[in-house]
Amino acid sequence: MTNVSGYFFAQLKRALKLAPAQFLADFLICVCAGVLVYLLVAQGAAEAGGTKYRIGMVGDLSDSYLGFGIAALQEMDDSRFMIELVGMPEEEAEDALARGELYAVMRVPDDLMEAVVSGENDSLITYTAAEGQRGLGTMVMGEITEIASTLVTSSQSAIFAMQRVLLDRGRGEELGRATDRLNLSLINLVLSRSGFGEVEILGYADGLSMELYYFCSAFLLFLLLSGLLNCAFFVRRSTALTQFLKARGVGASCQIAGEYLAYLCLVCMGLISLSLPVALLLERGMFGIPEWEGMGAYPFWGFLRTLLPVIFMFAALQFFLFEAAEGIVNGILLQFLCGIGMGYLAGYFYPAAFFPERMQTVGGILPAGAAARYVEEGLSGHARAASLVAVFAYFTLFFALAVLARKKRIGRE
Amino acid sequence: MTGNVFVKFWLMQKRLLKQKSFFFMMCLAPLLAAGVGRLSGEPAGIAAIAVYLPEEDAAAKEIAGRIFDDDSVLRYLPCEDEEEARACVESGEADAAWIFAQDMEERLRELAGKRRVRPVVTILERNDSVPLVLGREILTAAIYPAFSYAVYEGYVREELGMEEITEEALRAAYEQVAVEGSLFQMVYPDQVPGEAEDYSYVQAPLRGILAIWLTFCGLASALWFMRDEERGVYDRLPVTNRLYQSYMACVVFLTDASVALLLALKLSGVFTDWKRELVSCVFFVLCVTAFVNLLVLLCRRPQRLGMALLPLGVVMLALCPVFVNLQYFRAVKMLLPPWYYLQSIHNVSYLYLMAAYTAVLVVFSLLLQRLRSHFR
Repeated sequence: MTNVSGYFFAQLKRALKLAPAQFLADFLICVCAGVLVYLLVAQGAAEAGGTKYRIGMVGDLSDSYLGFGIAALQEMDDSRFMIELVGMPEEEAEDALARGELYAVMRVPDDLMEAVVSGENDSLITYTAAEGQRGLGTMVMGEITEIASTLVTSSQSAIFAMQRVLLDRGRGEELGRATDRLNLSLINLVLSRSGFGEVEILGYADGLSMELYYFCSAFLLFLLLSGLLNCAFFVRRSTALTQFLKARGVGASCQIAGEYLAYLCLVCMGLISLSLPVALLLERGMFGIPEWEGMGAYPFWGFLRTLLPVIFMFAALQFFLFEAAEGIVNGILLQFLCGIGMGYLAGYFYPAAFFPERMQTVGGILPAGAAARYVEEGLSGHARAASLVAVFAYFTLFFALAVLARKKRIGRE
Repeated sequence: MTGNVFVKFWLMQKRLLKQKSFFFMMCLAPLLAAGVGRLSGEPAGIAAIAVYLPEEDAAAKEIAGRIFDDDSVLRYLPCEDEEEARACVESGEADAAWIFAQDMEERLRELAGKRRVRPVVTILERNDSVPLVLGREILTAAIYPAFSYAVYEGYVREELGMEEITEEALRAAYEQVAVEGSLFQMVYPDQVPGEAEDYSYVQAPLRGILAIWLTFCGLASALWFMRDEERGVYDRLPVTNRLYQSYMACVVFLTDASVALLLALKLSGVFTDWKRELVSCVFFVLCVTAFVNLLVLLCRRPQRLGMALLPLGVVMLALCPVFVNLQYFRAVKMLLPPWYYLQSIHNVSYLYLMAAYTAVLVVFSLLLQRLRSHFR
């Protein structure tokens, strides 16, 4: 025991030497995260206040029907609160897209209206999204354009069918007036399409709001990747020292225990330096989480208490990964890939519910998933012993594996 | 000279590949990508919707076909009755429930004829969120064809005074002229159609994750070089030649990483075509090499570079279009090599920008090294 505590204090001294640089890195992370959160909140507020996703419209928009359609979308449709259509020359639109001022550019072909009126629909409106590759944003945009397309083609079908019926019955002279009236009737119904359904909001019976979910995920991801922040602790580890310590009676488990506790202190210091500004912001009400509304920073301290077993487990995981990898270089790569991979599968970036069931199961089994489940259950007031046991089982496993890796290394050397 | 470079390259490569854990590390990225690619084949959605549709209603059947057959960003959970759908939302299994009325066809007719306004569907939601707003629009699009048919039917019978016309005649006229297909097509800046790449949003972030991973490989190679430098491996080389050696170490490391990156892209299902991928990858490797070597000159010590890893990772994850595409900080984005790489896959102008940025980084590095040597 004396050996462990002596070795622990020596390691703690080493860890404390790294603290100033770590605080600086934490400060940088806080600044980055703070600016991002501020911008996202500002974007949300701006959207609520009328700022929208701007879509550049390129091509000949002089056709009266097309102009009417765009004006109707901008003046009467529900989409006007989210989307702003702006007509502009192609070059200007391309530049604005590259500068990030437009969400997408839509190119309207010259013969679009002829194609729509004839029902051929062979002239397609092409659009380019600002995302360089296919992603969630472009897929959502694909859905939106499909919806618009369905509304147009179904209306076309109804109008053409009515025209066919009139022509079949020899009432061709009524065609123009009947088409206009049916057109107006359909446009009117499209604009009031929200009347199809009656919306009932049930609220959160259990589970977390999206804000709290991402708040937890950000902290969990920080803890999961803190191995990268603290990698300096594992630089210049003397291989001769481990053998020397062994010869002096400090075995592999005592060495690991001493080093692990010092490393744990370093992780905790990182978390504290990140938590203080967050608590300050919460206390001043500068950002809100629905479940914690009006409670200041008080629930946040409870959240940090809930995180404690996870901190132990993640620190053990990182310690094991550095111990298992040959050298700091491999250790860093392993930390990054395991952190990002597990974080992604466990739903730290996209909510786990977005994933296929089998992927959710795999993500839930991983240490990052077990940690997320434990924290979510704790926050929603449905804590289960099984989740805590899973976290501690992982902690024990990683600690034991680290000891084994150290034993193997001492034996090999 | 070329032979000498090749020998050095080969010796460094041998030294790297002799480490089993390095080889394992290079295999991990393709394994992760292949795993995600495989798992992503199953149905998934940004919101789960419990759907109850009455079986005996013809309009409901038509809508069911449209909802369940579509390749959607929503995940649907068919329910036997209204209570089951409601329970799904209450338990959190679904984010929303769409409960269609028993007499749906009748209600659609009423709505189309503006006789009565009774909702066709009851929408239960846990909260009001962007995916659910999109869901409501998808629901509208699913109902609208049946609704527009009801409008057409009502208009012909009532407004045009053809009350005697049979249902079969109306349906036949409609089907004869029915317009199908989409009015929109997504294209990339290089005019490749959006459908050319068929993968789900679950796979989409993999390219970004792998790009950041390759940048981290570059940073790891810099640490490798700095550690060797501290051990005195390069003591015999003049200080002015160290930058060249550092570039060499990085290129060796990143050559292996780029092979792993290409393999991972192929296995994950987000691969485009060989020529485009290869060219972008080569430019990216050179850019990362220049980027990390400038960081080496700025940080000087491995500990400082180590401390910069997490903030750099956070900035890259937030500003490069991996999970979200933020409209802000274009100036900061332009400092990050993965941003150029991710944009360059479908836009060749970003390749030129990446090359120009690489040249700027190299010039800065050379100037910095000269200044250091001058003041030493």
